[in-house]
Amino acid sequence: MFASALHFVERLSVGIANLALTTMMVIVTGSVIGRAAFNYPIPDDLLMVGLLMVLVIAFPLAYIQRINGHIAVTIISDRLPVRVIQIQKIVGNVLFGLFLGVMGYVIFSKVPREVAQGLYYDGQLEIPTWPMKAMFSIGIALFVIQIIVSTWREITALFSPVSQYDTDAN
Amino acid sequence: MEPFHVGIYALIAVLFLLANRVPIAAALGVVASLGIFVIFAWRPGQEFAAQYAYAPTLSLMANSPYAFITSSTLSTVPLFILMGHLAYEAGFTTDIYRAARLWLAKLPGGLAMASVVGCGGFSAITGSSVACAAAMGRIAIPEMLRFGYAPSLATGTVAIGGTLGSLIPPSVLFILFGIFAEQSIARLFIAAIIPGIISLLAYMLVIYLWVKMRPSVAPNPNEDISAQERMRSLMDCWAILTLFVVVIGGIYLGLFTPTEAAGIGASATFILGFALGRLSVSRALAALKESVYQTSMIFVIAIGGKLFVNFIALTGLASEITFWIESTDASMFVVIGLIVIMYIFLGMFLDPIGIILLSLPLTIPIIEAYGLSLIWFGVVVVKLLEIGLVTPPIGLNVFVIKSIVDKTISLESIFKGVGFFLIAEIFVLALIICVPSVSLFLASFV
Repeated sequence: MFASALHFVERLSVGIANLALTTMMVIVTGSVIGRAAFNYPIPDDLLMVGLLMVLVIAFPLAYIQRINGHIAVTIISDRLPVRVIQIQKIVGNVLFGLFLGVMGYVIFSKVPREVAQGLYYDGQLEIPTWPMKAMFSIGIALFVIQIIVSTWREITALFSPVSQYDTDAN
Repeated sequence: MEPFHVGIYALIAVLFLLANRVPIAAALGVVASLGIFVIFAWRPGQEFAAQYAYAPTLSLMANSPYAFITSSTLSTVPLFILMGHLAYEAGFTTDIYRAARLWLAKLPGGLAMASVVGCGGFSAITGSSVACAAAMGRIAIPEMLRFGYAPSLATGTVAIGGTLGSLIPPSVLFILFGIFAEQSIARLFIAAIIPGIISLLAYMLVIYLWVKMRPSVAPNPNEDISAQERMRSLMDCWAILTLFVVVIGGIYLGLFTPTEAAGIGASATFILGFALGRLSVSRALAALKESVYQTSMIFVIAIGGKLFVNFIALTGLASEITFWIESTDASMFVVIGLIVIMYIFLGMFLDPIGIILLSLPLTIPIIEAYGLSLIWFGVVVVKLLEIGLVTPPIGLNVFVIKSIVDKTISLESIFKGVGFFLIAEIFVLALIICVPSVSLFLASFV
């Protein structure tokens, strides 16, 4: 139940990232056409495009972790025994989760203060600073949950009987 | 502890973690965060005081990477990636390959030459070498194998041709270089055009010589191709040519900035694809999905890299190394030679973006100290990174080709095929290094 719910949320977050990328494309094009045709670009176009990058980057992270898509150097460790590789994967997961988890937490911790103070970016639309920071933290939180799940799977495999373990690892 | 020593230990720690399968983003990010903490906690001549380090370390972790990823200049990267994927899904890539194939069919190794030209054409609308190799590999390799080409020639050609994706503009690597080296992306793009064309011609020359020496590797297809068919195939390339002219022409005519050009290019590909009935909703969604995956993978490394750049700046490592090199009175060529060796070595093990983020904080001050052009250096670095994409043990393009070909074709066979082209790569690299005007001539007009 939890696994399928997590998978659904991950796919949803990839869909949101797709939508964000499409919106970036539309904003840039609309702004250039507006400037060329009516001498009126979309206000704060580049600011909005930059902020949408947060969704494109943070939201697919969990799904990429699920499919083992994050780039690592494997050429040296490929020659090591399977159990050593498994330990390396666990260590890599823990470090990755800690790094992005701490970063996501620190960024999220700024949100309440920014909401209270009503902070916004300089520009015509006075876009608040907190929503995309909250979105970034949500993307990272999802990634950390997936890291915990995949690390648990690796640990379980590590302590399972060798034959089954070898099959899983391969 | 001196910050300089913290920097040295950190570099060793990064290499250790990378060798132990830790994802590149995590290796750079974790070491940078701990390094920053140690520098703030252990100031020279004072006791270790952790209480002084928490706040500045966490503040740097929160602010620097977030400000980096929300920079509008970087939005160029996903939009150029999207443009390439949309063009592939719409079949524009096939048009270039088909035209090149019909025009070059009579030459020795004509299909292989067509693959290189196809890669060059696709490079003009995509910014990624891996995307270029993957797209052209699916189209060209089965065709070459069907006509009895040797697997090493068929696969090696596309692996090397794919590297043009980073050199011929637009290019994700030049955008990242431009941001980190604070150089004009428009100038970097135009500087790479002549080296890109020279590389393409060098690959074609290698194919010609290879087939002349061993005709069995590329049997002549003996096809009858009419002049009319050739002309029609050329006309079919109008869509991709239009996209290139819109993007690159728009930048240099001052109609829009490189950031905006990426968005315009993606929109134009999207509209053309649907208008010509060559793009469906499912294909457009597939292009979007691939683009966000690639963007997320690239940028999570960039987040770790950005923090690592901040850390290296705090250590003063770059200025210490520059000072040491200057004190040795080493000639400029020796220093450039050492930098080239370093990049080739790193290219054997790391991906191009990781190398850029890891190395630029150290190499840029050295290049600046010698008064050399950073535009020229950008072209040299990207060329070196391209070579790294096809050199063993880790050649990303070779792995991409391996993943899309028949299992009977071994990794060794692809590396063997690439080997012939590496000789040409060395000559082209030497030309770019020794004759800076190859890169700087066109850039001087911008």
